[in-house]
Amino acid sequence: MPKPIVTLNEVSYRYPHAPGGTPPALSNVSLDIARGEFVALVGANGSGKSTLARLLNGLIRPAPGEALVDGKSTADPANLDRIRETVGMVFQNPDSQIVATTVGDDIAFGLENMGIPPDEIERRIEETARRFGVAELLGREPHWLSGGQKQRTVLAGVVALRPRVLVLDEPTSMLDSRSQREFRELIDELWRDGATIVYITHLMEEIVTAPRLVALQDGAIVYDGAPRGFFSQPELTASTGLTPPLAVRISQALAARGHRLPPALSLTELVEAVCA
Amino acid sequence: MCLGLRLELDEAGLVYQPGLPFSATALEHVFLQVEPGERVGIAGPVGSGKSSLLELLAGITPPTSGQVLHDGQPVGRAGPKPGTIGLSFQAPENCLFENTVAADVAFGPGRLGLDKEEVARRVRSALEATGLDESFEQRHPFSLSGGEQRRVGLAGVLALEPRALFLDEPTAYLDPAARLDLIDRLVELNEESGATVVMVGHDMDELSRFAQRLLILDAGRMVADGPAPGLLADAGLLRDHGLEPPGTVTLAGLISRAASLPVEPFLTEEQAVEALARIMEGR
Ligand SMILES: Nc1ncnc2c1ncn2[C@@H]1O[C@H](COP(=O)(O)OP(=O)(O)OP(=O)(O)O)[C@@H](O)[C@H]1O
Ligand SMILES: Nc1ncnc2c1ncn2[C@@H]1O[C@H](COP(=O)(O)OP(=O)(O)OP(=O)(O)O)[C@@H](O)[C@H]1O
Ligand SMILES: [Mg+2]
Ligand SMILES: [Mg+2]
Repeated sequence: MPKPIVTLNEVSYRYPHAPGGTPPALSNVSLDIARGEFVALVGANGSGKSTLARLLNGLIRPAPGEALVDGKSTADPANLDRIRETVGMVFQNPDSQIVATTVGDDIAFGLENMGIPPDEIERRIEETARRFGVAELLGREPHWLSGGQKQRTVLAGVVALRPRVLVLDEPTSMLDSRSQREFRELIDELWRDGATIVYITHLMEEIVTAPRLVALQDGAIVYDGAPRGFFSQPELTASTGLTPPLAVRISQALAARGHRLPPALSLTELVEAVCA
Repeated sequence: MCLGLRLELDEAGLVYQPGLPFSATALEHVFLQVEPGERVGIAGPVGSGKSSLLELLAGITPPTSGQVLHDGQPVGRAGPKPGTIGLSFQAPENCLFENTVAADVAFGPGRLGLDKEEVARRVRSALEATGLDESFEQRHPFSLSGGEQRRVGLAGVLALEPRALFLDEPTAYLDPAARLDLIDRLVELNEESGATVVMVGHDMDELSRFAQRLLILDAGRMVADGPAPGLLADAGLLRDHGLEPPGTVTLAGLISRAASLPVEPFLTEEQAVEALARIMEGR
């Protein structure tokens, strides 16, 4: 296995003001993510996904346990600048991440902070804005955009920084299905170019196509492997707040009527199995 | 017994920041009549005007041209009659402001002049409907996960028990099981109370489970308005407007091509299972 770029070592986390009696948001989580991996992180509302994401760029620190990015611990404040350059984060709520008064300035903000020269900034803004479909909106005020337009603005701002690890917390929750697919293609492109992707999602299509699936339940990892193995366990699927994909539901209904098929995860596989 | 609200748009249009350099035309010439008790879905690509249409229909954003009517009466600048509508914004978590979940959900119904017991009953029933148990009642809304906040926002709107409910992408941030639950709750609520329910969504499977009638928007214009099953089964129409058909419709297309025999088009999962079983039995 190649050297991990992200490591969580027996990590637990409890929010400072959590009411007495509530269990920790994460308990005893260990996870290695190799350079260039694509990991989908799933689980019911409140299972600890966003908490895990916040640990990855040092926004919060584990106690007890250890979070390492590229071998550097998030516990040492001296490492945080480097860690945040390495790990780009897209938060769940786009409003919380918009900082500037125009879309163009918003994308420029992070680049300026990194000390990138002005003409290079111009070039990157233009390139990412085009890729994310916000080129026409560069002069607009972000708070007056539609939900999906805001989400694209935030994505463009983070991707423009070209982080080696991208942590995306439900990045397409407000996009229509075509924009969702286009966005996923963009992320796959970055992934093929070598970026490491941690992708939090509730969307079935994004889940079944992920190479590696990590599922959380009540702050603990309950599955780590290929999506196929996950969906072949109906109880696990249900207890993590997920529902089986359409192809699995239909296969199961057919099996109940005596038509046994090889397990299908996607519609294409289902059609092949039926017509075989 | 709650009677649904009748909604009407008479050549309504909406321009944001008219006359300014970045003025944006969000909607043009929309005619629409929604009967009391209808379940209407609104679909369309990013920026097509869905949220704008929902806010116009709810009467909380005045149109810049044309008219909005509730029960045949023009909605004035003051907005809809108190207690008639409930609207959940695309980012309802931004509208949480009380110190506890229970207080937040009680805020709206608490201003309707109801007695305390009735408010408490509504708060409990709304929290239950969104899957938040009693342990959440005294939590601070900002100390919740994204999906939990969304549930609180939705509960606050359900607790109004209004004559018309307007929901903007209510399933965003919810986990898959909670999405199905919410849709089923909305259908149940509509059937039991007769309230009019209008929902913006971008998941066609969810819209197919929810809507009797579907409106499709593209670039600020209403490009389709009709019974949801027919429009959702029309893969060509949906794709022309940047939308993906429901999974079952995609499956119908794939299977009729692969089996190289005509397959009756289907929309529901039961129909899909039926059609596939027949193909397998025919061999
Ligand atoms: N307050 C505002 N000021 C200026 N323009 C606005 C404002 N709100 C929305 N717009 C613009 O109006 C158009 C329609 O926006 P609307 O929010 O209705 O779209 P939508 O279909 O809901 O999109 P999404 O799927 O992204 O939520 C968009 O081009 C948007 O940029
Ligand atoms: N700021 C906070 N203070 C106290 N508790 C919190 C805070 N943020 C989250 N929690 C709690 O920690 C647990 C994990 O939350 P987290 O946000 O990681 O969940 P999630 O898996 O991202 O859920 P969602 O799908 O709803 O976004 C939940 O029980 C939540 O209520
Ligand atoms: Mg979260
Ligand atoms: Mg919208």
